[in-house]
Amino acid sequence: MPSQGYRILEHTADTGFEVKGSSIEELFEAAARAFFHMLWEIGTDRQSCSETIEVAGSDLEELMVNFLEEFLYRYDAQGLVCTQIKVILITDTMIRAMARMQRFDSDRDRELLGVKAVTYHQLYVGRKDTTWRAQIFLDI
Amino acid sequence: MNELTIHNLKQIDEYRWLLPKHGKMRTEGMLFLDRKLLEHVKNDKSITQVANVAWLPGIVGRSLAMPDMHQGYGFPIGGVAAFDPDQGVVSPGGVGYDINCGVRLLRSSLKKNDIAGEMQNLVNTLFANVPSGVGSKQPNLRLSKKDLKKVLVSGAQWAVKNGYGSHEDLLHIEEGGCLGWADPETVSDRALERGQAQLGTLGSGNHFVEVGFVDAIFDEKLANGIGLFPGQVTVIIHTGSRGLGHQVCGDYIRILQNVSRKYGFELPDRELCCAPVHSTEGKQYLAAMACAANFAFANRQLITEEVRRTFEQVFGLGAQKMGLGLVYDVCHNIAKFETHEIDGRQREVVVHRKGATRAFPAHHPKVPAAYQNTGQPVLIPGDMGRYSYVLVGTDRALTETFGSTCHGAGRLMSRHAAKKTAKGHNITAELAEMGITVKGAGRATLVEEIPGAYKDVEDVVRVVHEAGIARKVARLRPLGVIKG
Repeated sequence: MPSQGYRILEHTADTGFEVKGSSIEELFEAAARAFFHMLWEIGTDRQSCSETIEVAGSDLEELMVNFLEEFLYRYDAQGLVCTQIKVILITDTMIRAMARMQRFDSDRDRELLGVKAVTYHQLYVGRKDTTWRAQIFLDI
Repeated sequence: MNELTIHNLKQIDEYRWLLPKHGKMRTEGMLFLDRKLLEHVKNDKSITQVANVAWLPGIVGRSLAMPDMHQGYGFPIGGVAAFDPDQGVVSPGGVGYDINCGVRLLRSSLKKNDIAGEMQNLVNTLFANVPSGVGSKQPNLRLSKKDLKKVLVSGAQWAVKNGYGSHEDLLHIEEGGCLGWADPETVSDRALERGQAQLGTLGSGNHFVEVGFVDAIFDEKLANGIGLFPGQVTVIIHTGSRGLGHQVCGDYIRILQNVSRKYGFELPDRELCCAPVHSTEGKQYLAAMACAANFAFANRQLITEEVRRTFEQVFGLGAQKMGLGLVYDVCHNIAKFETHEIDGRQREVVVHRKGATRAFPAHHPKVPAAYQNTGQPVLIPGDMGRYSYVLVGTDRALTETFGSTCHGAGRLMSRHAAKKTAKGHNITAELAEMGITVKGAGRATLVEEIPGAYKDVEDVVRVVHEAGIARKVARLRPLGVIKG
């Protein structure tokens, strides 16, 4: 995996990514970071605030989609981007995380990728031996 | 009849490939492709996706794929399928995330030479007037939720009522620019919040406004009938329902996954989650989808007015004087109640078009009065360096494809491959050398959308024309493009 901790998965019309982690918490954090890295280039020397993000889902895969979609909504509707993420609690059906959020500033920040949605297409979240792995495709 | 080993496809003629029923398919598939296009798609998952659609309960007729088919989410892009309103289902995967992504074409009384000297100015002014890019917002229009709900109920009609365009425009939009079964109470707060500042914005990706001209006429009588002449300046607008539509799709994919389990539907792909058309959840999705579709109709209507204003600013003439009228506006991603003749009788069905265009023939009651003798105009945009096509619908489309045809070129390269190809190239300068002025919100979009990243739209259009599911009328070449 490259230094950003994720691998781009691409097909003609698809853009996706793969992340790994040694725990489920690490996996969700890595997925969020990869997602942010693909979407935005953000300066960090600005005012930000901590927020608790809580998201539910019927299984781990739906949880992953809903978790990432939460940040898409925050950006699209509120103009907020996340610069740091720490998972506090995760079960099969809910995740709670601390997120550092800041306002997107079009003069200093850059949008890199227009994502319409996080999809269920070839979605995978699971564990093999001691390694957690997720594969996520985005509609762009 | 020629047998082929790819998915056991049976070649029917030069442009038709039958996908026989196998496994849990309830019906067979039909692919409209020539051998060249088949080569492009045989290795992606789109043919399997045509088969997957045939699993869905209550499918009427065949699971269809247009020649620009490629791998999508749930349905393939280019997929068309109809469902029985009593026994069948509706699926967000048959519409897509960008609900009512579509295209409209404006004609003018200007000729290419009238605007040639002002292209840079025109493109720059368009770029300044039409908000574009990933998170683009309308600086002058942030709707209250109450007003936004009015947009969701009335679509382009709301726009015209509020001073964006004329009643004449509404006569030249699929469904008059408004799906009547929209209910804003089925749309989540989140979707509303995402839509509030995005009405009248282009967005990103493959969305664009393109100023071009008519460079070839294939059928003079038809071209004349839809008001096109050689050298005429035209404008294409391609965009959809923005964040509001994406959120509606995502919300209902979540809801309908549980519904699919409840009804015990066996699905090959989570993106094909669905609900019976007549169920509460099915009706709710259709009502919310109609809201997003109406938002998209209004969006294209507002952008049309910005285009008219831009032409007025640059050329100092009134939009009416420049004849900037609407030829037509078509949906590419939609599910609709339509009446079709099936096995000799008229039946109402829910037609899903995912990356496909309605193509109704002359004399069809749903075709506007202006096009009763020509057939409904079909607008097929190509990539930004080549050309786009204007076609009309045919009787054969009505009998074979629920009145549907292709919608565009379809990607040939992944975005990453396009970036690699574009490396070291100055895309803007190269297009300028070809006589095309381009301005994009981000270099990333420009390089991902290089002409070579797409199939030649001519290959796609030739197949629908030869197969008889649309007829070629005219070809348009770009002069100036703004990309999201």
